Amino acid sequence: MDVLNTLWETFFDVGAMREALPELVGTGLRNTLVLALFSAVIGTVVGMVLAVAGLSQSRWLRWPARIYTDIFRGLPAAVTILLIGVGLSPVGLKIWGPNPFPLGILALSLIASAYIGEIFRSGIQSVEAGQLEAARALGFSRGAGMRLVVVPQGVRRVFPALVNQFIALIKESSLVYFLGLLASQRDLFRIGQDAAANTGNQSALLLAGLFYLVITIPLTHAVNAIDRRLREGRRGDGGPADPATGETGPGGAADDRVRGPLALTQEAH
Amino acid sequence: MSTPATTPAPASAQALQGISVATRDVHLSFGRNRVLRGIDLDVPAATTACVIGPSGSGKSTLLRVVNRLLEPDRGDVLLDGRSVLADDPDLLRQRVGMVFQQFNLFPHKTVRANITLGLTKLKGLSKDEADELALTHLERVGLAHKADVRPGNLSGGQQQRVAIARALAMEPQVMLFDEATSALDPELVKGVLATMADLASGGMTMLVVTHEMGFARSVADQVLFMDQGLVVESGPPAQVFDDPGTDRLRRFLSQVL
Repeated sequence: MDVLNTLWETFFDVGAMREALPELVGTGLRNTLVLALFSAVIGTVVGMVLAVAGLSQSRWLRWPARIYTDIFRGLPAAVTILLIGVGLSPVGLKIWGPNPFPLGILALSLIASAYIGEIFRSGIQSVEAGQLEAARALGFSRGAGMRLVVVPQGVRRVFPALVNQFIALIKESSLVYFLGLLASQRDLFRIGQDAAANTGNQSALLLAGLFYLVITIPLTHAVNAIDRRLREGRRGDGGPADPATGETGPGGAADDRVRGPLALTQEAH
Repeated sequence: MSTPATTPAPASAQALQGISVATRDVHLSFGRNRVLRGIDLDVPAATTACVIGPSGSGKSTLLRVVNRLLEPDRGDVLLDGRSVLADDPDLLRQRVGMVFQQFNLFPHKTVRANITLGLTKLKGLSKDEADELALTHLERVGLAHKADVRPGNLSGGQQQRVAIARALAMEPQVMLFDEATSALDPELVKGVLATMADLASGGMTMLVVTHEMGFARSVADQVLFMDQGLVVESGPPAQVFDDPGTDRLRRFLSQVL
């Protein structure tokens, strides 16, 4: 009974949680979200550039994209964050002073963009060749056809995988603590961990963990819901013309159209 | 609507007028594989030529050379008697409509948006103009009521008719059909063929790769039989179907008819 009691106290000490709560909400949550949001945006933009370069017909675009992706996807996140955050800190010091966030965001963005680039690339590649051919047959250049027809479809198909990557990013943002954070710069993990280290009680860290779950679990469910909407939208968004579905032939072809992208979405998952 | 001064011919779909298409000694290889081995083709303006032949004979490749989705290794492609190989291929393709076996509608866009995309982005029409023109062409294929539906909600036959409307909205001078009914369930083939026959009788120049021998016989002005990258035999449908001059064509016809 004593052991159980001790365990309970270690993880669920309400007092310790209450003590850490203001900092977790006021400082930690904000800093975690700042880190994750900025690197998600940068990572998505750079990832799209990498995907397009990786699919380019020019090897001078393809190879650099390949090498970049191999490096930042292949290195442990901790290594990248330390190399960039510590290694480039003299440069950072000159540009924005002793704030480790910009370099932390840079490192997280490098990692995220490598993964996101691969996600986008797989999505774009999964779009049937006939789509680009049809766009070009209408008179669009290859580039315009990619931009207007192929890429939008490819991105839609990998939307769930993209959000998974955002979730990974939120979790990885905790590694920025390597770079040495002032009290006001600490993220959820660091605040929880500091409190746990100071008190020998894990409750604050557990609470920090709960905050991560509060962000990531709804994100997972939101993406599932959106994904379902995107898929069923193909059938459902007939809107007022919906009774028309009755007119849809028993045709295998029409059904394949609906199933094709669906299968791919699941594959990309 | 009939006053030509207001807008250059958009609304009246009947105004689509074909020009002649020809190829001269077209060769194309993919690596070792010689897919086209000297194709000469003459499709006079406002006529329909059907290309038949076994799979792998180069029929679809030939179509793609005419609109330069594929560039020939040798030979020439002529529209209205003039070589187009030096033209901007994107502008050339605006003049040559193409319909595919798998329809290739853009599944993320509504039927209407499938049609207006090229009109607004390539022809510079305003959204309203493009919408109106799209509806005109959808009416023509009997699908105006499906304008706001996604292609995935349509039957294959309806999708293919939208694809035809999409191509026609660009007001092409030549239409290419690449086995346009091969992916359709039998009961849906008729509607698409009827749309194509309409178009042919309306003055469009059409180059049609097809396995529908009945269509070729009744609609085509000439039929070309291709095998192994060559036009083995060509002539009016009656001659090709009823009086084949080569063993290869006789064998092919005995398999498909």
